[in-house]
Amino acid sequence: MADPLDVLEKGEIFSAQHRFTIMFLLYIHRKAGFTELQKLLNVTPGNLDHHLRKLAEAGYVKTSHILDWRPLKMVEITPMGAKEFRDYAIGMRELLKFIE
Amino acid sequence: MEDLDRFSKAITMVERYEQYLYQRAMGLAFIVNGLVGPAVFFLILKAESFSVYLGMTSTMFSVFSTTLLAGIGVLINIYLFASARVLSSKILERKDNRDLPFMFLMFCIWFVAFFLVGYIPDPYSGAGWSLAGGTASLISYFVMSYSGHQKRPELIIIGVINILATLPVFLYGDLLEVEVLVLTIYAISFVCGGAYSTIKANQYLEAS
Repeated sequence: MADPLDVLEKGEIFSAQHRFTIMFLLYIHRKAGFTELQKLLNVTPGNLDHHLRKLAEAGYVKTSHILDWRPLKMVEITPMGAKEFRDYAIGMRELLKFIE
Repeated sequence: MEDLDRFSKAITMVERYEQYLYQRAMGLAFIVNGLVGPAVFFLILKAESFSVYLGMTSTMFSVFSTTLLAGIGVLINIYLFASARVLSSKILERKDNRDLPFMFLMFCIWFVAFFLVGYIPDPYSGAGWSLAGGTASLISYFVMSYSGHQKRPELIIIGVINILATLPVFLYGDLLEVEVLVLTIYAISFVCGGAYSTIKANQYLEAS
């Protein structure tokens, strides 16, 4: 049986509040605009870019440019990102049960 | 405990994002409604000229263009609200409970109101659009208020403006200028209402 504490090690990338929120939002909504995320999290573009780069390096999100009435940068969760985040959330639930 | 706090903060953010999507969909739907009505009226007005190019009778062209534009309007509205809802959370319990029966009821109110415009005689159809838009806005406002949903003051303003705008038609008859004026007020009120809703949607994002 896997150690419930493994989830903390595996999900270290999600330990930052902003990265966790980004993944949680993308897990539910699949994709969101860069500007929308920036306003929602109340962070600078550079700060958000840093978090997104970390998630992109892990293969959890990808960014793309689309042309709406103005150019938009979209952030989308990858299938691997969705799976990893789901596993992390389930792992956290198991951990909480284990602690109780 | 720290992890629970992280979850709680993330849930609050997602809820705000969903409020933003919903409010934005509503704003865009207002703008679409504000443009479709006058566009239909314009095409009916110029039916004789346009029908020649398409080799149709003017009556056929009027029916065709009305059905096409109204259909496009309905499809865009369904898409806007469906994307705001379908994409929205299935696991979070929302403060503003936007359940499917409620959304269907709202759709029915607007659909029936504009469907009835088809039974209004042609000279008054412009005023009919305005009356339908105004009545649907007012009914939506009261339904939303009494069913515990968020109150949308823009609905009551649009409703009153549009119903008042039809008064000159009853006073001066079916003058073309009056019809054009009524539809201009209709378009402006809906587009402004839509812009207000969209701007307000951004406030949900920036509410931290």
